[in-house]
Amino acid sequence: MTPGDRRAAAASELKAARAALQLIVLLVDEGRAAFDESLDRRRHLAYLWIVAGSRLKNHGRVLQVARTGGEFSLAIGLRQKLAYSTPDKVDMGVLWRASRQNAGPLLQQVDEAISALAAEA
Amino acid sequence: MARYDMWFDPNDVGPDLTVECLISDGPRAGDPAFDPEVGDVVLVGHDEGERRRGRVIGRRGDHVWVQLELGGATAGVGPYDGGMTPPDRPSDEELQQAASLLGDLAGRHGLANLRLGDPGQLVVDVAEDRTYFDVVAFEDAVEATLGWRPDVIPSGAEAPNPRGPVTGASSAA
Repeated sequence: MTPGDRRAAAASELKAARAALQLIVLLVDEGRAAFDESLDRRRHLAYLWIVAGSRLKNHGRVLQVARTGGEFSLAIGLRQKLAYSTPDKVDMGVLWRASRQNAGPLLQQVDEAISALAAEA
Repeated sequence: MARYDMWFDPNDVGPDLTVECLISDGPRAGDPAFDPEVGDVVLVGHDEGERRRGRVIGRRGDHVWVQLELGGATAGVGPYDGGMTPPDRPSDEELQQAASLLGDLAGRHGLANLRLGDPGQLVVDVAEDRTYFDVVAFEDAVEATLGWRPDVIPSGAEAPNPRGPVTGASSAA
């Protein structure tokens, strides 16, 4: 894989993560009451975090950078927890707060990383 | 003490059972004594709880290529268990012995009231202004300090299964 191929593959992963994070932000905008009322909505939110974290993990893998301590390591760690936990071990209130507080700044980080990759090309 | 030397991605294992690892991305990243050379036997593990023995077949700085061994006993880590035991989860005894440090690290991340959960798990109360990112950051800090990683379960989960406080006292029950 050439450096250009790696950048293109990494950008593709970041764009998929961005799409999932944008949906998380939209779900948050619909409010906590809607989240609390719907099991499907809660599961959907967890699924979107798994997608976002998986794609960020793949982005690091493509670029061969360390998973730990990197700019996306907390989102990847959350993905690991959600993917390997049973549903009764997940605190949906804490997940809601992560969605409300962390998804927006993370989305901005992902946008910056996409721009940085484009600038390298 | 770390339960394995380097992390590997099971999706990247080649047909010759070779996988590329990064020293900087493993539990021994900060260990200056860890300097694998071609021919050395190492233990590699991954997120799904598997731990395997392998032989170093190449190295370039931080990058190490390891050829995995399949089956048989995993030297130095007890009988082979089919890869079902998470390699980096602590025992109750280890959690109790580290009670003071765990409490200190937890407090820095807005977590309190540490209790033993299911094996390898810690049940914690999460402050109202904290999120799962703080929970993960706490797990990272514990792993960086102690070489193992508890699975931290917020007490608001449906079934956190707390068994008793982490106080430094014996957990035998």
